[in-house]
Formats: sequence, structure tokens, C-alpha cells
Amino acid sequence: MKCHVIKTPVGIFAFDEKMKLIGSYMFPNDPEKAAQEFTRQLPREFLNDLHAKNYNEISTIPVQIQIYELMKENVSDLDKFLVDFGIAFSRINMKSLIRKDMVLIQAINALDDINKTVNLFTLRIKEWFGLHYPEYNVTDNLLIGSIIEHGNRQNFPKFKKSSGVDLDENDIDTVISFANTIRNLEGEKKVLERYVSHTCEEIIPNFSSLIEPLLAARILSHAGSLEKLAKMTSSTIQLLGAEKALFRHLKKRGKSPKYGLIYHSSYIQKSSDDKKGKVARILSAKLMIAARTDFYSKRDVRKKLKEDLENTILKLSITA
Amino acid sequence: MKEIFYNVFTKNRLLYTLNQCPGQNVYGEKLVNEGKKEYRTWDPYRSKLAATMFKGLSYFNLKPDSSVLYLGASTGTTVSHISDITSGMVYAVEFSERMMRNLLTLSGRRKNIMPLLLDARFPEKYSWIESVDMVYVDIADPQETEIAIRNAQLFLKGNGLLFIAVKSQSIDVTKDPSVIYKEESEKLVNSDFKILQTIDLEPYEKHHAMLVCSFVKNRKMTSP
Repeated sequence: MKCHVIKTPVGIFAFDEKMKLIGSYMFPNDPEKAAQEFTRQLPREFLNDLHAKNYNEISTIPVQIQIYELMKENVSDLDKFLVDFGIAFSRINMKSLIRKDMVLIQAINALDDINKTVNLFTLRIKEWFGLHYPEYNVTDNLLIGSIIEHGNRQNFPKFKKSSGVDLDENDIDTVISFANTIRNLEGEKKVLERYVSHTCEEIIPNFSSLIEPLLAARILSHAGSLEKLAKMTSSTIQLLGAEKALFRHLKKRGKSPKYGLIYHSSYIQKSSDDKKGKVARILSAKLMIAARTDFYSKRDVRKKLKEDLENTILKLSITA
Repeated sequence: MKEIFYNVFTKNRLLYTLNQCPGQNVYGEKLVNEGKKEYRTWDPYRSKLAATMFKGLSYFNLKPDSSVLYLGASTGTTVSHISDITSGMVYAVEFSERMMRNLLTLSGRRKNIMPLLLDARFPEKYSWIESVDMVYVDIADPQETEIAIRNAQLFLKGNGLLFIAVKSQSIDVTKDPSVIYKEESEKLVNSDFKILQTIDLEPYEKHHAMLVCSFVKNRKMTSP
């Protein structure tokens, strides 16, 4: 015989085809415990009980029954119970949704933020120190190093004359402290780079074997999560990061973009201009396979993917 | 304060709802005291339902005990105002874990918001909720109208109202918004709904419209 089983926050109810209640399994009165039971599979003893009553076909498709009234009978303050249940239940769901890939995404975003900040700060210190010693013209890194080392322009080895303004000790100390901040940020950047590469190998080994780990993490961050990335088509992966151009094209203005973030991959960088689009297509197809393997089966297919990819790219340059 | 709908007030061209948690605001909105009561301003730039009221909503059916199914609750901006208006249960369905974090804090403070971290595409997962007086749908998804229809058919009372905040950009960026509003309305009409009002939310939201619908006739609930 057929029966309908409905799981509610209060407990599990079973109905026969005439919508008569034929069995129930109540959850504990405590919302937290009830939420835990709710997220589990249907309990064995309940199913066995139904089988014993000769109900073999169990359907969980919703049917319109006044199940709410039934719940109300079983709990004294249903509204309060439901609110607490909702909170507990959503907490449990949240926990299962957050995975390690989200940690990686935060790390790569932090790295990009630091990059931006370092550039911004370096520009600022150039302007700032330039007031004092405009003749000193070296690369950014060297500038910060020598500010920390020498401080006032009189201490610079090659200093003769300057058209800049004189700074007293207090002024120059502030500049030095700012330069130190930039240097610390650069140290932090190296730590993060190492962390991201390391974590990439752990979470997305196949994916990050085809492109540079930092780029892999960036693509992952753009997709939102590993699950989302794994569900993307290769053409979507190919154009991640080129949304603006894509939608401009879809609105029938402009050419279709050939690549998004993956443009920075060395495979595309080293191929000739007329092949770049084709290589992007081949690469994204392999990336898609890699992402799915990383999310679902978690096998190691690094070697095969890499060989396939390089062969296909090689063929491309021979045939053309 | 002038009451325009039940428990929705207006004064000096601003909207207010009665604060059920006096002294606390939810998203940085202003609290205003008048008489012995505290009101929360309802910002039309933050909440599409408030924007709809500003643009001339004439159907609104919340009463003291009305229950609401809210799909796409997000961080709870609009949800908090609905929970001010009615003392019935507000079932707040949201699929994003990040948005749910803020919604949980809100739900902890209120008595009538039940957060549900579930996908509105699968209403069977919450098939046990009571039948509601209002289904409010605000999800950025190409399938939004289909999801709304399915949920309304399952949970909306015969005389209830269905609100759909249509974001044309997430249904099809290449089409003109007004074309999309028409297409979505047609889908609703084909599923036995009547469009009571179509309200363009310009200038509060770009490329958004609110569709206010009800069943064609006061029909009995049927199983899907």
C-alpha cells in the first residue's frame, strides 16, 4: 500500500491514501534536539513500523493536509518552538555549508587587498618623501629600503644638494614609520602567497596543477565556491572575470570576449596572438574537468590532464 | 502619524512601522518617538516593499494575526518591518549562508521570525508550514516567477496576496525591463493568477517592478 510521510519540526507523520493519520514519530520537545533529528534520515524503527503495517510505497512529495493543526496539538507554544527550531536548524545547515574552500577564498582576497594597499601606500610615500628629497630617483622597493636605512637626506651616501624642503627629526620619523608599515605588509604578502599556494594544493590539487596556484585561487574566489565552480560549464570558466565585456556583447554591442581571468595563465601568455582564444578554450575545458574531479571524486588526475592539455595545444600549433 | 495600512504609518512623506523591540534598530534606520510609542522609519531605498508603498500600492492585506511566507529574506531588512506589522509568523526562507548570519541575529530578538536556510525551489522541504495570508518573493533568479507560483499554489490562502519583486536584470539582461514584466505577468495569468497591480520601483530601485497578484477566484487549495 502507498503512504505519505511528512517530516515536520515537531515529528514525522505518516498518512494513508485517504489522508488518515496512520503513524507518527515525535521529536524531543527541545528545539535544538528536534532540529538535529530533523536533519537526519528517517529513523529505522519508524520505517520498520510502516512496513509492518504493510505500507511499502513511501512518498515524501508534499500533499495538502492541515499538518499545521497537528503540530499545534503536540506543542504547547508552537510559535516560540518554531522560532527556536528555525534558528537551530539554520545553524546546523550553515555549518554544513561552510567548507575549507571559503577559507582559501578569504585568503586570496586578503592577498589582493594587500597588493592594492601596498601600491597605494607606495605612491603616497613617493609623494611624501619627494617633498624632502626630489632628486632621489630609484625603484619603489629601493626607495622604501633606503628611507628606512638612512632617514634624513643628509645621511644618503650620494647626497650633495637638494631643492626639497628641510625636515626635522619628528617629520622624518613619521615617514620612516610609514615606510616600515609598507615593508611589513610586503612580508605579510609573502606569508599569504605561501599559504595560498599550499592550501591550493590541498583543496584543489588538480585545478591548481594546470594553472598557477594564485590564479587558481583567484578563479575560485570569482566563482564563489568550489561547488559553484564545479557546476560551471567550461565556457563560463573561460570567461570568468570578463563579465563586463560578455554582457556588452550580449546586448549586441561589441565583440565577444575570448578569455577572462585565465588570460594570465602561462599557457595563454606564451602562445601567439592568433592562438590565444583557442588555447583559452582548450585550457578552460581541462580546468572544468579538474574542478569537477576536485569537488566530486577527489582523485588525482594531474598527470593525465597536464599531458592531454599540452598535447592538444601542441597539435594546435602544428596543424595551423 | 497617519495609518495608511494596518500598522503602517506615514508622516512628513516618510513611512514608519511600530517598533516591536523598542530601543533597537535593525539596519541603522532612525527610531522616532511619538506619543508613548516608538516607530522605525522604513527606507524605500533599502526595502522594495516600502518603495512599492511609496509608488502607490492599493492592495495590502496584513492584519494582526496574518502569517507571511517570505522567500529571499536576505539580511532581514524588509522581514523586520513585516514582523513589526503582524504578530503572526513570518517564515523567512533564505538560501545564502552569509545573509543568514544576520537574519539569525534578528530572529533571536523577535518572537515571530522563523529563519529557514533552505532553497525556495524545493517547497517540499518546508511543506509543513501553515497556509499564509501573503507570499512575498524577492529572489534574484531567472526562475523567480515559477518558484513564486509553486510556493503560492502550495501555501497561499484562497484570499491571500502574492507579491513578486521582479528584478529584470537577473531574468534576462538583454531584454527591456517592461518586456520582462509583461512576460512574467503572462506566466502568472496562465497559472490562474490575477495581476492586481504592476508597480515600477523607479527611482528607488532600477529595473525592478513589484507584481501584486491574487488567485483568479477564491479557490480551494488543491494538491499540486
